[in-house]
Amino acid sequence: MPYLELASVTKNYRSIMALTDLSLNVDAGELMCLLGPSGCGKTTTLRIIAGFATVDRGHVRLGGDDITRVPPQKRDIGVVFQNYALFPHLTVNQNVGFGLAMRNQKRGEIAAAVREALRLVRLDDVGDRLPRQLSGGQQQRVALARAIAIRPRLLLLDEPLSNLDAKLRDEMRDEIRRVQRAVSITTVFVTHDQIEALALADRMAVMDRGRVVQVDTPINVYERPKHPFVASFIGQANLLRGTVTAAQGEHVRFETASPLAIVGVGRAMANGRAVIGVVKSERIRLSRGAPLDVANVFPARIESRTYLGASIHYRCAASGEKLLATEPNRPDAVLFEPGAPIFVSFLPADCLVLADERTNDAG
Amino acid sequence: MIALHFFSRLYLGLVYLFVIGPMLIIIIDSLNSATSFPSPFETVTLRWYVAVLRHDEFLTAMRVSAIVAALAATIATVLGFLAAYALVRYPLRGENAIATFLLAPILVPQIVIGLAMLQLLALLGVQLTLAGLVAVHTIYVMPFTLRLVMTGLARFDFGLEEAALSLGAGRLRAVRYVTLPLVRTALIAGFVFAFILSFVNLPLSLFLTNPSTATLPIVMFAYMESRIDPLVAAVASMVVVAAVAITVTVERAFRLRLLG
Repeated sequence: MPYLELASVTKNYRSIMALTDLSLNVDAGELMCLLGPSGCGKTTTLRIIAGFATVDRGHVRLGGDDITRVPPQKRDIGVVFQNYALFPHLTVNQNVGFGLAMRNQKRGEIAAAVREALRLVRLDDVGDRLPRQLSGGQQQRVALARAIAIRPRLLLLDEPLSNLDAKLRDEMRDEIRRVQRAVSITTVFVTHDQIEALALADRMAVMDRGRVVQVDTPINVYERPKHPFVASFIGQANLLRGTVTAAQGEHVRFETASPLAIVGVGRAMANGRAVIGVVKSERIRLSRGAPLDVANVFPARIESRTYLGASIHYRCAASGEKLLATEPNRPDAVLFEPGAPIFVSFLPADCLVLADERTNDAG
Repeated sequence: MIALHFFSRLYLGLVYLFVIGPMLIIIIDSLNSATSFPSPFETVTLRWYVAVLRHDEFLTAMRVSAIVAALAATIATVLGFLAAYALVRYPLRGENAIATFLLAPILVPQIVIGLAMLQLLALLGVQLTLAGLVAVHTIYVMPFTLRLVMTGLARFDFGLEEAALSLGAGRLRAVRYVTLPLVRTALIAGFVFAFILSFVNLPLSLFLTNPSTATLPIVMFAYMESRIDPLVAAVASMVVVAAVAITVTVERAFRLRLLG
């Protein structure tokens, strides 16, 4: 049985459908990331789990208890807010001890628990300072310490890294993971940053327009998206629209309007069916001559080149099809010049063929 | 530049002259040994202050005013906070109309409010008691506490209350330990202003007092109708000094900026 369970949760704001029949299971000890573009309902989902927002339909269960109507102060759920929401008039010690003080614990017990929580987030010697006297990273650690000090049944984090600069963000990401493992607490982490989700999550739920589109491990979500939205949202993917011309076993041949005849892999599909071929940009190879060993080889032209240090992005045109290719910046990497005629190629196994629901729905 | 400098000094001087001047004159009058008021300065004396302290009617009136002001300011601060909290925290239907309605008492001439209250109390068959006086003062000073607390709450992050809830505080304890301490400046400033405004108010009380509930401004007004001597200037000086002293003390005690 899942530890946290959202069952058919629906939430409307005025006339806007914020969450539509959303179901999600999180196992005990798991770190689940909710990932999606802004407005997809991930923060609403988090607020419903925390008890800050009510549901119109559906149930929330935690550890077997139905907590749908339980007020937030009785849920024992630790929350780390996007802006940290530290109490500015209280010291770090008082902030971290707040939840324990609200539970009427003894002074000595609170002090010990506060020390323990601050040690866990590796913050020493700042206990008597006010939040405004701390750096952004330190405030983040205090917020985390405050949330775990109450030994919550569940930890929620709402875009906790979005206010930090890039370097600190990576550091705090690893810190959160380390602390989460150390206290082995079931955690739901909301983010719009796919790298964060890929790096942190045991499993991730990709959300779009108030629904969960796919729940899976980061590797599966990245390598085997089940839905064109997931494919386009995660990583830098080329989406090639076409219709099936032949299918044999897991191999599907389809033709784009450009026209390119492409072989990819997918479940068996009837001829004439509208499909989308998904090719991650790093799986596209560029070469001066035509490689002989692969199925999908197309003459193309470099349209532009973006040098990003660790990698180089090329925008190419093959027939009418625009493709993005990412080449790692190896010592032996060849720099192609814009305008140069080249060949793009990719393995059938690197082209995932998905049903194009949009076109099929419309037609 | 020099001309501008001169005119800005002149402007500043005039502001000081008209704001502080009248109060200085009153204080000087109160120290004048001449028995008529106003009159040219003779010698410095404290006899008028001594006279005030022996004047039962003024002493009683000071106590009544202090009680009325303390009660009105307390009630207005509590009600002002509750109203401001509702107006700022929740999206209410007719929010602006409610805010304007609650601020309306400042727009009506005070003597009209006083007269209207007299008639209302008579219709209700209520005697002229301290309660009626406190009620009318509360209505008049509440717009000030409401406005100040609304400004304070506008800068308050209500997400902090959610943080308190998630940590196990109930709604009331979240307000008690998080919201109230963070709008403390506005609450104290509102209370101090409300207290002083009530303490010095004449027109509201004019129709609503009897000899046992006469406030200080009423007694001063009545005194000046019958005779003119520096005694009343001494009373006025004591009020000015007390008002400044209260404000400065509160500022010091709570490390606030009330006087800008």
